[in-house]
Amino acid sequence: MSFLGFGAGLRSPHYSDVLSGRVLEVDWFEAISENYLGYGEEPAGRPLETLLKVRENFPIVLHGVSLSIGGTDPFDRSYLKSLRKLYEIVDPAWVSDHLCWTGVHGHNLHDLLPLPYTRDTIGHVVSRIQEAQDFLGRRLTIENVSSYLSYASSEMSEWEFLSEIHARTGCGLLLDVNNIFVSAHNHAFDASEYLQGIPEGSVTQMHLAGHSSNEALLIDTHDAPVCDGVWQLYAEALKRFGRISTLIEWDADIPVFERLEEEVSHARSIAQRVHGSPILAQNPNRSRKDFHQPSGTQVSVGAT
Amino acid sequence: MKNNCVGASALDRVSVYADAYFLRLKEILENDFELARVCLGQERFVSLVADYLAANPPFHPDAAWLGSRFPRFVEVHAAWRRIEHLPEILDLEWAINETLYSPWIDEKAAMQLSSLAADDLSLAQFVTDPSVRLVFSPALIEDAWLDRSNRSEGEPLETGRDCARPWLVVRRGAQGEVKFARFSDGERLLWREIHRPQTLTQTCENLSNWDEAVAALAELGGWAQRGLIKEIRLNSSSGNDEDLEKGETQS
Repeated sequence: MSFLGFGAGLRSPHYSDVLSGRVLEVDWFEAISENYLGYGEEPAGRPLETLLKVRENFPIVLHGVSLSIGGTDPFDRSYLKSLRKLYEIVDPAWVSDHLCWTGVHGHNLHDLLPLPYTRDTIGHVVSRIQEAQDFLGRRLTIENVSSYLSYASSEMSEWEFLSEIHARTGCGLLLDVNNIFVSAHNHAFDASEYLQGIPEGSVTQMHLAGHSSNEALLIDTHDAPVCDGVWQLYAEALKRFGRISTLIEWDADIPVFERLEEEVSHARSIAQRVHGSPILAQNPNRSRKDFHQPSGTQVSVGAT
Repeated sequence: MKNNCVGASALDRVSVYADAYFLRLKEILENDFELARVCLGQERFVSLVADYLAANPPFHPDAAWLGSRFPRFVEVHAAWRRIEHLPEILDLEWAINETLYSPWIDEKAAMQLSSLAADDLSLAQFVTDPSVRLVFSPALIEDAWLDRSNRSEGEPLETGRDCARPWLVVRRGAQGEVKFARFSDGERLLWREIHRPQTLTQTCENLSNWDEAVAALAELGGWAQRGLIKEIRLNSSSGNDEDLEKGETQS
């Protein structure tokens, strides 16, 4: 997978900023697939038209929330067809969804529910990923979710589960560093041990986001800046996995775009600190990196 | 379920998901049905959402479909349908949602019509704006929708302003803006008729009398000017009955 640099989740309040033509601190955008599907047989409409305008200047990754890759209901074929058509239209750098289940018996909870980490579940998920990849004609990238409960039936750690699924399907991993941080607190495991348990070379992308807390649990709310603990864990992840496309998610209490850019810039500066040189994305569609090259600075472009 | 975190009970943990379920779905419906929420007020809207979700748990993988059954739910619900204009408002807001996800077609019809030879006119077939949705509402609910951000919570819609053109036409503009128009019953009939894969001559023949046919010709020019008709074709089909049914919402 190519290194896209440092991105942000594309959200409608920021459309005008993204299309303003000014040079942005953001190298690429991740769009939520379901926001562009619409109600017809094929994706269409104003949101998709806007996404395609953004696509003219920035690489796009499509990130889904409804595949229910761990679910037991058969895949909804009309949904999969819409997704496949969207992929054809947008031609994203890659596509992703979550390692979770989202509903059962035809009911959708529209939440990312954790799976029991068992051998049986691995077999089930592997077969579902292969089925989805075959239908969609794309390699999937799968994200670890944050969770608030775990199952007594689980036989292994989340990282062992994730690694095994990667090994058996060839899917990429979208490592959400905030989710690891949140789940590590909620389930009292060591986040560093999690990172060490993920194979080098398996990670396609990383997510960073803010979270909140109730009395005892951390909640993955995406409504705040990335906290110091998550930044530290991100630096640790970069040391282990190398140069990885990184994205900031901010979905509630969405700030002005400039604030989001500050977060993106901070991720870039941490990566530069870890890897020892300025990092810019290899982006054949854009020339913004030329604007960003500080005078007298050696710029490393496109290493993966 | 394991309980690895001191201070968080099993109930605490399940509650995170249970609470998020309702809040997330309520937020989606609040966004899709802004005017309904403002007219009902937050408390009554939340109560309506609770009733709706109990009867209609989300069924589609895409949460955007959550509100698709909301108008129908209220139409047939003994208590909720009594709230004046609520079924029409829900119809309108769902129609707006759908129009924004309709494809945009460039408007060529007005120019084509001006250069069309008189002999060819009878052979004309029409490509209509695919974003058009028709909502039956004699009350001028579109004014309230346009003014929704200035309305007070719980402020009921004014009534008694029934419109002689009871069909509210909802469609999208090039920039995704929402446009409104009104159809009389006769105009709605004409709108239905021109969706069929037939020439203008056949359309006129299908209208019930000659007066309607003459009026139709005048309307078509106006619809082409306003972008309701996007394109004129002389040799190919302009649509079919299936498209027509998908494009119409009726209380």
